[in-house]
Amino acid sequence: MSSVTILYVEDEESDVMLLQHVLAKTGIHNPLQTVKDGKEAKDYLAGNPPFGERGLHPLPGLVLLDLNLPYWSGFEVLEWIRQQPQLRRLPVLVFTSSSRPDDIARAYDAGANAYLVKPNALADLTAQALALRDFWLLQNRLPDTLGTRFTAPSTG
Amino acid sequence: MKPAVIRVLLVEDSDSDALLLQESLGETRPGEFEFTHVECWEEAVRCLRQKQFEVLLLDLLLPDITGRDTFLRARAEAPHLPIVVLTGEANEALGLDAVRHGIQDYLIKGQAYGRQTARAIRYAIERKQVEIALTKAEEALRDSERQLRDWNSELERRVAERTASLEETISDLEDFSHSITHDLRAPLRAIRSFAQILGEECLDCGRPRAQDHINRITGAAARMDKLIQDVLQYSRLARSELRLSPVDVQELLRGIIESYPAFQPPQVEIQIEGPLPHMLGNEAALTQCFSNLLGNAIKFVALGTRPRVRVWAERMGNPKAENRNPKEGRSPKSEKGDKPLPAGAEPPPATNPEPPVTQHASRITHQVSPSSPPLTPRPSVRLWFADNGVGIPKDAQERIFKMFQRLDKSYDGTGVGLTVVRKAIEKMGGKVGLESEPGCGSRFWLELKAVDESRPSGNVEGPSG
Repeated sequence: MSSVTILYVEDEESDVMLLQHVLAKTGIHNPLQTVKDGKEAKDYLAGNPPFGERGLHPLPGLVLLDLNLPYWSGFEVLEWIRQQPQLRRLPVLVFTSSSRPDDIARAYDAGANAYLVKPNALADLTAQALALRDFWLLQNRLPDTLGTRFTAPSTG
Repeated sequence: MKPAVIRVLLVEDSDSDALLLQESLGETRPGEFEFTHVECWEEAVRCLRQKQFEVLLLDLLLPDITGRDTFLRARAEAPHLPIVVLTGEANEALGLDAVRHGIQDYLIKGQAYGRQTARAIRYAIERKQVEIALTKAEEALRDSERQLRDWNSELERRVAERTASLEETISDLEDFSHSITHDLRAPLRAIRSFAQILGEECLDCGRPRAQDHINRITGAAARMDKLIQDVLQYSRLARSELRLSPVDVQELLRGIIESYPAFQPPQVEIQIEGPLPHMLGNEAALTQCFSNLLGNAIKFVALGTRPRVRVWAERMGNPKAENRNPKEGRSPKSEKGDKPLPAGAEPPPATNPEPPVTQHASRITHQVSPSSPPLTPRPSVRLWFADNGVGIPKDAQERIFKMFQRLDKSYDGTGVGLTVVRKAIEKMGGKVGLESEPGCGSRFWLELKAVDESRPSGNVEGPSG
């Protein structure tokens, strides 16, 4: 299993604790970094203080993004990520309690890679964590670089 | 009765003609006419502006104006005054022309005698009065019409204004209910999940009472969550536009039963007495309705009874259905198993005896008229769901379609299921209802428009998925 860092953007502390609990129980040991609002998410991804030390706060390979956040909404964070040359390929999974069709459409429009609705039962959250591991961490190939520095290998 | 004196303005440049006219009138009707005689148009205008007249006698050959212009000018100068023009014998066409232009009459000089002239004057006055009255009436009518148009546009403006404000309110309410439901669910998620984690951690603590309390917390939270979800689903349904297309209800029911083990043997027996005709509906909404109806049918049974549900279709009374009556024996479709059931008939006999449904079974119907009824009413199909459950007393049959209504709290549920069914069916332009008696099971039905089966359903805009 890849050992990419997962960044979880979530203002609800109990949701963070629940995910930590479930990841531990299902044996998903990828480092989980958490930030509690949209502004922190941007600072983390941009490497601004207090997240400047990449050894402590490595760039994530996957972002779990709540939509209803203080300061900047999840949509704004997502739009911002897609505008950053160094981050535009970063896989972002929206992880929210909203199942509103408008929100789903808007999230995809803003460049979400997936849209997951937070389940309310622990068993469902466990199932979702396992599916997430199987698809996003085991099956799916993540990009080597998150930004534009990709150059096609020259032939000959 | 003494007639009032008629004041005549006579415009005539020939003194002899004027004199002749005045004398002949004076002889015929002494004292009835009072003349003012002028010889040219300029003078006539002066007189008209100074004095009141009942009639204008106008020669068309004046020193300062002649012909057509004469009566046109006169009419413009005195629009409310009756005018009789005087023409020469050779100029009768001009007289006719004058009448066509709103002049009341013409007299041909030398042919008109006293009595005739008097009559022409009186008629001219009468005609003008009628004309004025008519004009006034027309004006009043136009005013009324204008007023009506004004009121109408004012009304439309107000309706638009209120509609806009209502739409805004609805949209606010939707946002409100949406955020309420989501904000309510978030803490619930924490309560439920942490109680569950606590329960797991407490498994080996050897305190069964504590475990029971935790189970009650998770149970209550789960129920609350279900309630919120059901209400959310209902409000979504209530504000959505349901697009209708032909639905193969038999296939839909089969799919629902296949995907839910709770609808399958050996726990329950659900029997579809097909073939079921295609119905005009919304597949997603119908899926919800069928699931809810089947779920209810198997849930509300007496303890120890194995739920049994039968589903069949009944074509409702309409010319088409009558044509297909097997008695007529013409339709090739009228084979065994495809017999339409006349309204009110008993369903085909089942292999297992069913609880008897008596004639006295109370009925309740919810009807809604679609916003724009089709010109020729489409035949409709009633889909029956009969169960062997506990039945519903008559006085409760209206209530069960209302939100949060639960007859027996010993059965699990939120009391939203039938409310969703009714709302969905109404949004599809249909009806729902039931026949039931306690102890005799319930027969719920929903009625939707039938699909014209002369067209292959594949060609019609089909449901996706």
